[in-house]
Amino acid sequence: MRKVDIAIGVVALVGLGIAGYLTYVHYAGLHPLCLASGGCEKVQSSHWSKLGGIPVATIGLVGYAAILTLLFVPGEVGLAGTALVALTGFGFSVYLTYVELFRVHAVCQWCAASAVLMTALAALSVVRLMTAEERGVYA
Amino acid sequence: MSSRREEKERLRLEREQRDRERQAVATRSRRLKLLGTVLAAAAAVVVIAIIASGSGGSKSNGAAAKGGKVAEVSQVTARFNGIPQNGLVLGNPKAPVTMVEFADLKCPVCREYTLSAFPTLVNRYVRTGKVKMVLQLQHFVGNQNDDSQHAAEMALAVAKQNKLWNFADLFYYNQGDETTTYVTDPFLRRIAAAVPGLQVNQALAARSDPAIAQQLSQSSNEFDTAGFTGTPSFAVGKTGGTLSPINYNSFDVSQFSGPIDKLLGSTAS
Repeated sequence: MRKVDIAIGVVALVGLGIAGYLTYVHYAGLHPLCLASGGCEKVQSSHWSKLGGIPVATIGLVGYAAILTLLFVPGEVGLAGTALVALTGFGFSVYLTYVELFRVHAVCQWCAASAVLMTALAALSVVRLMTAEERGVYA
Repeated sequence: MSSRREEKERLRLEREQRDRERQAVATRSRRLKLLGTVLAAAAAVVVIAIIASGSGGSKSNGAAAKGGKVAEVSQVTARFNGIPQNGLVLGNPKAPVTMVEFADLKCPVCREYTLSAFPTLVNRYVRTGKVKMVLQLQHFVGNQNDDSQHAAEMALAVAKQNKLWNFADLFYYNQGDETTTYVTDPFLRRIAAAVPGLQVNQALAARSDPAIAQQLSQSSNEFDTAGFTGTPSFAVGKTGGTLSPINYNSFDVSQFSGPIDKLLGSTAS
């Protein structure tokens, strides 16, 4: 396994942990641990915390799991699939960060951390896509 | 002889080098195209997700007020699922703290509260049985052609079936422009039909019950007696005791959780 694969795997695992925690908190009816007063709870209770009735945290959980799974899919399908999920996650994270700052007026640290992880995953997956053959993946 | 072999070897190496370079260029070109496709696909998915996510955002699209689809039905249903309702009251009737909200369904600021702090307060205090909320409906915001009054009367009729909070929440999410007259029977029917288990015709008929007008008048009196001048206004206190106004300056949850926590702390001790 190459360094970039390992890096993607580690980052996606951390993201899986965060999204898993937020999903658990949502379905258990608990308040997420939060440094700022009520920020996470406010974001988690807002209109934007769900997409088509599904909690955004759960969608994130599926996204991180998909990235981890696609890491083990060989060929360009795996490379492009990983990049597609990571870039989609990155784009949606940018939108959700905008919503937090300018619509909900609260910041959830867990969501911010997830946005940073998705940004890293997007960059890493693009590097992986562009350099895979040169590194001898198809050799 | 040797020189000729060396020359052939040199040419072969040069050819292989050129092939490798051509292959590298072709690979890079193919990868760039693939990356472009992936970027376009990701952008399309994100745009669709944003449209889906923003369909009921902080600005009402007012589609239901113009005869369109009622928005946020599943979210509102989930919000109140499993929480007892009795008339104007949401939550455990034996909750140690009571919070009264004076609101007008046509009031855009009331909507702002409902979309911002309210869901967190419900999750944190009402669902856990610590606070019960009471909705006292007013009818003076955007009451041209008695529009606001029609909204309040229907809400009180729905309260008879213990579905007031679902109806009020859905109303806010689908609120129209306060300067227009949109609270028609078809609009009220659409909103009411989106409340699970509500007998819509029964609720529409119940509006003419004299008790509804009496209830509205009583709410207005309570509002005036408390010295409030605008909606939304809030009062909170120990259940059965005297309620005090909440002097909020924003709809941040802390504006409400502060007084509530103080009361809960004193009821626990």
